Amino acid sequence: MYNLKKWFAVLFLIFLCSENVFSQKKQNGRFHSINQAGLLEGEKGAALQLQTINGMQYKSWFAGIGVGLDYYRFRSLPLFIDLRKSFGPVFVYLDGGIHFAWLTDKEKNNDPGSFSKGFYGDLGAGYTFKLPNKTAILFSAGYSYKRSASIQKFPTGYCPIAGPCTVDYNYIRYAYDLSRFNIKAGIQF
Amino acid sequence: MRKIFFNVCSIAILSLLVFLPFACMKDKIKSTYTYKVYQPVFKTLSQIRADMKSYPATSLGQTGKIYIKGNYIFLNEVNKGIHVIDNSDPKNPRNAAFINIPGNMDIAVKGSVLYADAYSDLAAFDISDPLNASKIRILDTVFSDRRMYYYSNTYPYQYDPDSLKVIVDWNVMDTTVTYSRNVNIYPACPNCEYLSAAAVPNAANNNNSTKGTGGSMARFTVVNDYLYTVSYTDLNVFDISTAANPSFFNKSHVGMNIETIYPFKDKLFIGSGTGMYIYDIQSTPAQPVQSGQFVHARACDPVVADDDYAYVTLSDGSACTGFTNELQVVDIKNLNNAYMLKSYPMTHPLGLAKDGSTLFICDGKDGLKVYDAADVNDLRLIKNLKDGQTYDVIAAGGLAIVVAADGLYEYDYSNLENVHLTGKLLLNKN
Repeated sequence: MYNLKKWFAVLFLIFLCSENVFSQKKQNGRFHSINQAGLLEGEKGAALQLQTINGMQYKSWFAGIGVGLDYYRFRSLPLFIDLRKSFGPVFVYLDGGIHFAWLTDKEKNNDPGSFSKGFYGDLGAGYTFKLPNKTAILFSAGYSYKRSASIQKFPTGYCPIAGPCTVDYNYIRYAYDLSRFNIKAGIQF
Repeated sequence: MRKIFFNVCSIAILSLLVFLPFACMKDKIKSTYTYKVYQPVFKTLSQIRADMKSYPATSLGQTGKIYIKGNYIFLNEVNKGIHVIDNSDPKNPRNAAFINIPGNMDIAVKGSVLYADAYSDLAAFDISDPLNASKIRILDTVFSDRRMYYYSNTYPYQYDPDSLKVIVDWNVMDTTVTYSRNVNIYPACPNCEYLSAAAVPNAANNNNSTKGTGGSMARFTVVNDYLYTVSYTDLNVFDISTAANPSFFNKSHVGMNIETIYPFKDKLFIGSGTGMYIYDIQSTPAQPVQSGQFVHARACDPVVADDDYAYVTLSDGSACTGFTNELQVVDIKNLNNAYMLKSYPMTHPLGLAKDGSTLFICDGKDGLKVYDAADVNDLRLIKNLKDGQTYDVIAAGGLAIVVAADGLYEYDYSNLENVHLTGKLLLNKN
């Protein structure tokens, strides 16, 4: 977990340093909405993800706030900050935030524990195809990570007939560190 | 063309930079199992019997069944002994002494003699001075379903009380183990041996002044010269015509999963996991005869009764299993044809009591419910007192004494329009 956060920090610095090398002229202070869908591919197989990111562009930089749906292993709602840097039609992006578990009924059967929110991160690169009316189609690929934990509790015995129920509990904590490759396609307004 | 080539190269380089550290897309799922390890503390049977006596009051660790005699409340702490509570001032019940009885769950009193189970033994104590009880007799191994410690020895079994080791306590240690997800996560039940000991004896209710009053969860009861106890399958009869010298009289098979016994006039009402048995003790009190039976869904079911009706609470989620939570009113005017008259939904009802037309029900987390039961077809809730997770109740003379998970509560119901808490004694307080 610590190494992962370090990598995200290093890549963020690369973002900042790249300004002098690749800077290009962009329209200043413009609002953009990026709406995209994609696939997450990891050890568990493929899963759907949906995102909407809304923010401001300044020169070749974009910063926004995103929310989405992530169906890998268990459904969750990521809430994150999105930073991206354009080099002409090419861009790199870095997302970081938290996600909240929102389990389906089937997932609750598999793991009925109480889930805690956890770190969510995504970084990658993409390509922008400009369309008329200041819209664009985006394709990107990257690495996505989400972390969570669930705690299940199990009663240690019966409520006895010989007294009030004072059953104690044992606990199992599952810590999930989920690494996924992701590809996304979306449209930017 | 050159620009596109530059862009493609850029993507390739950046992707390489991004993905190199994450070449292996493996999910890591770490499971941490935190549980309690119960390490038994043993004593020999001889040591246990020698230590059965009064001690200064100790803090209440866990509540069990109750029995009232005069100004004293005898409150069982499961498998530990009996707290003697001076209730001469119901506004300020005082934890006054502790009778050490390992393996104890049930209590009954006749005159100045208290009977208590101690694992498979029946112990009799002189409680002329309740604060200084003294053991006067032990009947060895009369509750055969609780003699598990005889079988914990290597064959051939030891029957010498000086060498028989009995579990009297548990040292509890929190333990944490980390492992991969797919190993068996269900541990062996650390309490199983302890719980298997939970067959047992309980309570009583009678207006005879020489006896006390027990709760509806009781498995001991005294009627005249006999102590009746129920085990998992049997009804035991002890002759206590000489109170200080109890003797085992006989045993008869009742059924499976027997839970409670409640006396009313010349009848014994025995609650089981699948129904209620009614035994007649008028003609042959030493040999009770079954005179009626009522079958219900599988559930725990303490019972109280009056001349015409029996009140049975059914609850789920315990050793009794079942899925029913309700009060059933059973018409017992004709014992050969007892039938359910009406049922009322409850949350998790356990012990209950009846005083005149007032019905008290311990409804688990919903606390104590007080009903006007003048019309059994239309019980009217007078008050719901939500002070604790209630277990059993004894109600007499305008005072309802309630055992809850966190202690003992006392309610004044002399004025039914103003039922209120008068005193309490909580766990871990002397």
